[in-house]
Amino acid sequence: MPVHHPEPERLMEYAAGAASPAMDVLIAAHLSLCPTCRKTVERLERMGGHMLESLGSDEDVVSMSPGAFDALLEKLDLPEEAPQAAAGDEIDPLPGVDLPAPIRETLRNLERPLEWRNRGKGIEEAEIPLPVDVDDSVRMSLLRIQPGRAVLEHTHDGGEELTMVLAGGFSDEHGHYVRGDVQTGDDELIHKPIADEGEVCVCLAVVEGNLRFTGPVGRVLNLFMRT
Amino acid sequence: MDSLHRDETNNHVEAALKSGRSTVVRRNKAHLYGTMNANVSEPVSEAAQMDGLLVAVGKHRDRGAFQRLFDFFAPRLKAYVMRLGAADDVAEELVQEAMLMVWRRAETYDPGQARASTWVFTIARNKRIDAIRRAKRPEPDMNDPSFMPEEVQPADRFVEAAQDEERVKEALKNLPEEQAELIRQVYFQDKSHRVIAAETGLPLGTVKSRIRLALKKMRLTIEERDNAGTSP
Ligand SMILES: [Zn+2]
Repeated sequence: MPVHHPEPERLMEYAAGAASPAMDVLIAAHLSLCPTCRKTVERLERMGGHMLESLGSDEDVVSMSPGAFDALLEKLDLPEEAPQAAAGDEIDPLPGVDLPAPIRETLRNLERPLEWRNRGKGIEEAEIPLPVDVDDSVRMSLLRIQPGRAVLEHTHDGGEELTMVLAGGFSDEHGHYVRGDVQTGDDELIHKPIADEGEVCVCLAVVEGNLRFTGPVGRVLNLFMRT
Repeated sequence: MDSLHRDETNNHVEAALKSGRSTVVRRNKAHLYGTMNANVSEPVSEAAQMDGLLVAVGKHRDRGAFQRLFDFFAPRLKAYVMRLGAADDVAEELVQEAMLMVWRRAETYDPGQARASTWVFTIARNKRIDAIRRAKRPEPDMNDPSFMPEEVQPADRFVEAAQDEERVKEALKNLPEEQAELIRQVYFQDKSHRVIAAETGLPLGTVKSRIRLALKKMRLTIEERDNAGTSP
């Protein structure tokens, strides 16, 4: 079982539906391997349910248009559209690595196969394209680190980096990370992870850049626009 | 809705309330739900009835019960997605889709694990995100061969769920306004702690520690983790 977990605020954002698409993948992958955090998320979802329920007064709720229920009644007996199988359902997107479903599904839905780029010193990186989001400073990638190699020392310029181990392991000044563990790096942490000897280390990394807003955010307003 | 449906509903609702969670909880530990369910002479609150109605929809495809669920949840869900930025017509459509999902998935609802409101909340949350991204929101899948099940299934999930429920309700009431507001922003305005920090100009660390304090007060994180600490 993992011993290094995402921070509780991250779990809350996931439960509330306020996390970025990349963070959703990483958290869902961690949850697949971590019963402890699943329990926390369950509680945080209860809070969402409770808040929904407490929208009780007239100012709080918004009436549906007349006839909304009748329109819905007509749909109840329609057969459900079967979910379309992804084109690459039978393809193993990353042979040799046991991928939790949220990552496997994400990779299978990519339009292009992963492109591994050599970052030097025994490190390769494959960027994973993300759905459109208001926060375009987020990047997600897979890392492959050769045994015993160190990832270059780096800081995060006001953002954060979450790294989840999928295979092998690495160590930094805070401990040893193996499959399922999540390391959080921020400005205060100049981390120098070194991959374990004897096995290639594969990680999912989500990097958030520096987020600066100059005015009120029109976050969802823009995303909800119909194309 | 015609009267036939209404009559059907009342029978099913009664049966559902009997077979649903209220009795299960009572058998375990009635006091957890306070006097609400334990005291038979007092009416069960509208929200608490939703669990039984949802069971009725799952078991009997009860349209009358479904209408009562719709009447209760649809205006709340519409308010929820509108607070999150959806225009009226988009909100209406999302609510319709979410309620259709409620109808279709009702059989999988387990009143011992969650209140109907929690279950409906997660459906609406996912529908909204799927619509924005035009992609399915990633979630852990119990049937995934990589999925790590719990080592020990807790003996009494019903009691645990009920305790959590009460704890959240009480704690949310007693939370300092500053912290309560942060929680509302995350749930009802779709703001991550980074967005809140960027908007308010507060340091990221400050926003994070306020949220963490609120979660701790509500005892929403797992205790051993609170002690161990997860951040450097
Ligand atoms: Zn965890």
